[in-house]
Amino acid sequence: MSDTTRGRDPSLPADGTSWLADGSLLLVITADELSDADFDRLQLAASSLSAEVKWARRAGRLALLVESTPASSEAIAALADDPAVEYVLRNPSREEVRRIFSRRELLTVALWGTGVMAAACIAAPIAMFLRAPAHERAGGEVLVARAESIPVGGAQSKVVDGEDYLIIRRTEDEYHALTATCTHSEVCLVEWDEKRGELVCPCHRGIFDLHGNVISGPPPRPLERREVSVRDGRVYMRRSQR
Amino acid sequence: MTTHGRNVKRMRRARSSMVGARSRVASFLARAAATRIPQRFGGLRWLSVAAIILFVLQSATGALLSLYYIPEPGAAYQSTRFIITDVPVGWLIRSMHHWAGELLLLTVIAHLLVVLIGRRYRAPREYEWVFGVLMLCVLLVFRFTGRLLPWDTIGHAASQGGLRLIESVPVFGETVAWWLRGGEVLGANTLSRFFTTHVVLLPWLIVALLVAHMLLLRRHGLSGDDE
Repeated sequence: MSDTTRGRDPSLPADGTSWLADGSLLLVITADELSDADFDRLQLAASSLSAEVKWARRAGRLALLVESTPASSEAIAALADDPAVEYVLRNPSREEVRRIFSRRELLTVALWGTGVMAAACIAAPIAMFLRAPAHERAGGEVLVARAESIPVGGAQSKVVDGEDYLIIRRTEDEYHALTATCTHSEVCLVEWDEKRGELVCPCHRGIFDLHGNVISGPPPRPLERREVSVRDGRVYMRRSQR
Repeated sequence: MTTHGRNVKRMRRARSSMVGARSRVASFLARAAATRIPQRFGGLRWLSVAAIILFVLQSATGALLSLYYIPEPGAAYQSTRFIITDVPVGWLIRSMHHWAGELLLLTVIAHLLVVLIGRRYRAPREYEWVFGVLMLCVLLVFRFTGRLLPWDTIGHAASQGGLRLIESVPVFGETVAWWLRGGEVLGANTLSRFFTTHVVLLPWLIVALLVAHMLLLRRHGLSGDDE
């Protein structure tokens, strides 16, 4: 595909037809220094011509392409002498017109904008993922249960960091978390006895209270307690510091 | 100026740039950008590009998952649950890794079928085909080892089944299964082995195969140039 047919402004004459009529002008005006009065005057002058006028704004400049017609060639020539006009190209070539009226700049900005937005869409979830959950950051807490999954008076077992725990819900808002491995025989897991309000090891009848203290039986050490906090119906347990 | 001309210019500029003057990276990339693609690049050839995109996606999501995943029997399941329920957008990253993996496998199989049916494996591109099939095998191992990592019942059962299949191979099947399992039973050793294979060995292997595949492809050109 040759470049002469690519990206061509459809309003410009097609190949094979004559280019702009003799006497056509490409006016370039420094837009930053253009006062409202200057702009109004130019616009009035351009619109009063019985000629094809095309406007473009590019890199702080304003450009006017005026195609000459026999009826208004003198008025067009007068337009070139306007004090606001920075410079004039008489009978501009197709290349010069295309350079001014190209949409490349707009497309470049649009492309970069789209790219940046797409990159942000990818980066945002990654950044979110990399930020560990709030309770993890707050200091070694781990979600162990949802409040509704433990009946009041009941208990639920949970493995955290490879260790067995019992999460006990004594009353509506009172939770306890204890290690569930019996300190006597470490292959046994203690069970929650709701009626007596004690933890019982089924292997050798070791009995612990809610604070983990040994009440009776062979266990040599108390069970370890962990701090529990409840937020938004979720029960969090502080991890062991080991 | 034609697109090709522009690319040639870009290539010359890349060669004189800071990196380009000191290595061949920039000029290699510029040359890659200047490669002309056959006009007939169409049909189902996008499958190969889709596979590469999915592979990049798998690498990225896999790297992210490895930040929270703990390859230890007591913690593997827990940490997987943690990623899904607690880590922000963790559910999304894990699901992407899961589904993009399945899609990647399907895409590669489809790509190979298209190449096979189009007889694009013929000389001089036999080794592109060989590397392609090897990559499919690596992907299958990826899937096999990855399935165990969540340490859930299905993963456990799938790995048991897979290892039993390997065991059934005569003569050395049992030795290989023992070696893969890291012992008599599927346990902590197996998890470590599968994890290391999944995140260290296979990525290197597949990247090497992919680079070989692409370099050969660049040398021979996409089929269609010579047709």
